[in-house]
Amino acid sequence: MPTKGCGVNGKRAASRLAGTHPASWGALFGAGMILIAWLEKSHRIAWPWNLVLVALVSSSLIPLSLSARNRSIHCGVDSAATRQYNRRALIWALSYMVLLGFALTVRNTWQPQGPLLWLLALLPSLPIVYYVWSLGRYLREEQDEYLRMRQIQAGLFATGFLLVAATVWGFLETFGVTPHAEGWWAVAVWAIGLALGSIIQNWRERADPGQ
Amino acid sequence: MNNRLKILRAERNWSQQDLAERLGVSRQSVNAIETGKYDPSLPLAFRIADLFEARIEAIFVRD
Repeated sequence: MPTKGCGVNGKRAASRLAGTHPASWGALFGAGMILIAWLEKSHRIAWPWNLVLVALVSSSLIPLSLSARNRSIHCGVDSAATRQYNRRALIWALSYMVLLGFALTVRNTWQPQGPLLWLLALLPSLPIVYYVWSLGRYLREEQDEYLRMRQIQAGLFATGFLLVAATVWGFLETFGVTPHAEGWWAVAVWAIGLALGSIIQNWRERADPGQ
Repeated sequence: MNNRLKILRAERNWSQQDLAERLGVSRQSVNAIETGKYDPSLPLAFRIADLFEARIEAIFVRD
């Protein structure tokens, strides 16, 4: 019997990788960050505990990256570009934790002003810029046109998801229903959209076994 | 678009993974092409045709 797509083998892989499915780690990371944001907004935690929690939650990105690699091998979507993309994802995630921690620690300890404060404020955004670059780099490096098409489709879904989320939240904020959301949430929302786009693609492939 | 990829592959006793490795693509790509979920680009269609030593229109046919 010919090997089917991830829908068949993926179930077996998921049972083997019980508890380490990338979606589980992604959900843990997302839920953790939302919880931290809520705790901060409601003034239940402050520095340095917010930083400790962010580091703790962000550490789930390491097993997320490893399980994503395992899953891509099991689902037959592994490629050199995918492996490089996962390596870069680990780099930006770890850099983000380190630079955010460093910037917050320096700001809260020495309260710098002027250009130094500007530099500190920009530091955590550097890994995010690297993340966006790595996405573009993946599209250039991926030699498998089908995998590239899937990533582009997921990216378009993520862009639509971000536009809708930002518009809806923006109007809720204008009418005073929701609190102000900082601009850096954009990349996080886009990344959630990217993950959702990939999940929807997998669902559709399982629902349509083809000819 | 329909195709005879599955038949040609079976004739050579190749798995999807074998074909994927010969074409330099992922197994999921082969699966998507074979099941008609994805139509390959012209360069990939030529690579497939070269591999099976057949004309493109002998492998890919209109619905």
